[in-house]
Amino acid sequence: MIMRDFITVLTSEFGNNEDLFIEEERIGTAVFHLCGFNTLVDTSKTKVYIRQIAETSSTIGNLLMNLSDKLDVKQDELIKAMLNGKLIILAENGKHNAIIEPIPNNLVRSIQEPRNSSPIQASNDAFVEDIKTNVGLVRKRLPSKQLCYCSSEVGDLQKRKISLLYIKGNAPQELINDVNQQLKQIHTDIESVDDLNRSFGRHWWCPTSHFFVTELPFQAIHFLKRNRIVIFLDNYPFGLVYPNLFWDMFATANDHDFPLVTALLLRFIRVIGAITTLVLPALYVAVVAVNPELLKIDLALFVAQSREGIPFTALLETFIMTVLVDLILEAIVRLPKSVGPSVTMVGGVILGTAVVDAKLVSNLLVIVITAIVISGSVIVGVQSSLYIRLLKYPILIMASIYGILGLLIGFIFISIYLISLTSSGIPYTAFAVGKEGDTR
Amino acid sequence: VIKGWQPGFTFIIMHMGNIFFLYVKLVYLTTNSGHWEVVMTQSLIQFLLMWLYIKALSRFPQNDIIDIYLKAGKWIAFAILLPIVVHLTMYVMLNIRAHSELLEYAFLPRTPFWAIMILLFFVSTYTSLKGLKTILRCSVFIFFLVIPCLIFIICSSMTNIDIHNASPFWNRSFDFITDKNFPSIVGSSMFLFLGLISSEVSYKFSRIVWAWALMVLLFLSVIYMPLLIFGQETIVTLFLPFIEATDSIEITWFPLNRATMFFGISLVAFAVLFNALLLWMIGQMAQKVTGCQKAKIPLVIIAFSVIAFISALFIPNWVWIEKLLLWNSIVQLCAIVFVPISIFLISFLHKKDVLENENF
Repeated sequence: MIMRDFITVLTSEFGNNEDLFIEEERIGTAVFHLCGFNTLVDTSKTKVYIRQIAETSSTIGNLLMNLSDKLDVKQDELIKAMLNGKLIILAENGKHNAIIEPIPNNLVRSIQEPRNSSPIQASNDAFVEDIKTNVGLVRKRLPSKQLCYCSSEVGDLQKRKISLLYIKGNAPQELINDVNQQLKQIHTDIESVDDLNRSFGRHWWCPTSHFFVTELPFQAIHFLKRNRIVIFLDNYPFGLVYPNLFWDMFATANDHDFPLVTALLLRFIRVIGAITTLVLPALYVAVVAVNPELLKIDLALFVAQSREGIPFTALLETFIMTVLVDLILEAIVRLPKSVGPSVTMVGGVILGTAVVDAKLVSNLLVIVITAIVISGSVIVGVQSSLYIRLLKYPILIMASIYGILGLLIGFIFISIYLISLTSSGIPYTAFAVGKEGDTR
Repeated sequence: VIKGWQPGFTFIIMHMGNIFFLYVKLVYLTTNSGHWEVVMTQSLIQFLLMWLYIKALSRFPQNDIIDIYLKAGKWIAFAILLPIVVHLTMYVMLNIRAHSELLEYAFLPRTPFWAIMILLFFVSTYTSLKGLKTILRCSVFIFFLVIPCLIFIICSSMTNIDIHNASPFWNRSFDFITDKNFPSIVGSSMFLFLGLISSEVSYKFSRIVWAWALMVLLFLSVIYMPLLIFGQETIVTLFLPFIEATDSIEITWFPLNRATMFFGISLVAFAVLFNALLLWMIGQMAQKVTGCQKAKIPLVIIAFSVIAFISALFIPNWVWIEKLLLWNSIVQLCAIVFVPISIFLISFLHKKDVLENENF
């Protein structure tokens, strides 16, 4: 390959990119070219570094040897390396080339506190975008020879690095093989966790995920030790624990820092929270609109009184309020932190006082709605909490038609649906993943 | 292959899903005293048949009864399984209809029964389409959801009971055995499914025995709870003794008026799972006997489920439901006697064949 040819290829392919640099360098009598993207490579520092190495190298060949172990590579690989932030040296009119590790522009975030979860009395570092840092965080805590780390690149347009982390001898071999198989089959780009989910065979209508998302290294290790696999996507600051089990939304690794009884209490509270979110709005509608005779007489009278003069039907009233609350929750997430609290306050005023004063909804419903919001937030993991919030609507609609019976059937139906889900043959509702060698 | 307790849970759920309509009432009609003797006799007969059945099945590892009958000949299998499929379809039909009637009575007196039937039909067909493993896992979930509710009901009824209602405790004559209703009582055993799941699931007989023991306890408490509350004279006149007994419970601290709600949960869950398993059995039999592709099982299940649903619409009232249930339990009795014995005989011949082949 002649240097001119390669440079023409580069200019024709990346000519309209301002960050492409092709520079001629001269050290002593030797002339060579450096190519790369200056958005990825810190050029001035890298040049200084190359000069320093050049001082100790006698020939140009020697310099390339000192700088890199990837010498005389093919054109395609050179371009791929450039796109991945490497620097390319072309020497002696293109007879020799090398891919060298430059001093990169600092594009990664340093390890910071977790933003999406708040562990109590636990270590306070979180995963970042860089896979190496993430795996390093895990290795540092789990210096075991059984910890396996392998990665592959998938995708079409964007070759995305996916890393697999598991403990050999703990994670079932079938599971590992299955994950590798699934990863091999991916031919489209993996842009999001949902893309990965789909390529692992989840239907689009399924609200649950194959992966439990965590940003806490200690939690990832907790799962690794319990025979799961942790998957890292590059530039995604979370570990994806596979398979995700139903119980994960009630138990965190952090619970183990407390005495067992306290931990059990916490989990019990979370279970109650999930059931409350699912059932309470439906129960309100069922009891008010279809089956008032189920309540004791004084309670039934209280409910009837609180609904006196309210123009909406129970279903519509509940529906409006649950949607409003979900809107507020979404608004809090979207808005910048400085505005968020004021929206909460305004929302609180609207929901708590104004609506009741205007006799649009009953007092009791406001209490019910508040209870739902609070209880929906105790579930571990945002995605679990979101899907539990979603599942309350079908039960609500069933309850408005069939009353208490609709609520029960809706609840049982949703349970059956969740029970039927599996990831790599492991049921979603299993409490734990069996160790390698155990019969399930 | 799943190993574990799941089939045991399914065993309990299948039996509990079956007893609330006919069984309870028939026991009260069959004898005036010593009701536990009826339950125990029925359970022991069931245990013997079940033992024979599982013993025979264990000679054919990884095979279910369809495979075993197919070994005896395709037409033999067809001739034996066709009546069973018809019987199971009828069971599904009656089960949907009877449960919808009960639920209507308990929760929605103004709603037409077909509206409730549609619900049960959809959920049970859906569960059945999800396959055996889902059904087995569901039965564990439903066991832990429902049995505490039942126990809660039974415990909370303690304040209403009068122990003298159960006397005389002994019935030395055992005259209930000759009663015309006794065959129907024996016919309410639901263990045939154990022979159908054996190709996909392996289970230990000892665990089924544990489930059986728990089932006997639950049967006894379900029989004795209304009896201790109302007494023999009153109870034979009641429409649905167990529901009326739960209605009589007054729990002062509880915000709901009727403990029936808990019973409702149990009924819905039992009905759904019971039907799902029956439909799965039908699908399995139809697929294996006709030899069609496995992918067509869902169509078979849906077809039979629709047939059951439509024929259930034509049952006009509770009197008819009871009559049909009574007939159905006789058919069921024939099935639970015939199938274990025939499987046992086939296993016997099979063993002889194998021995002869080995000798040559």
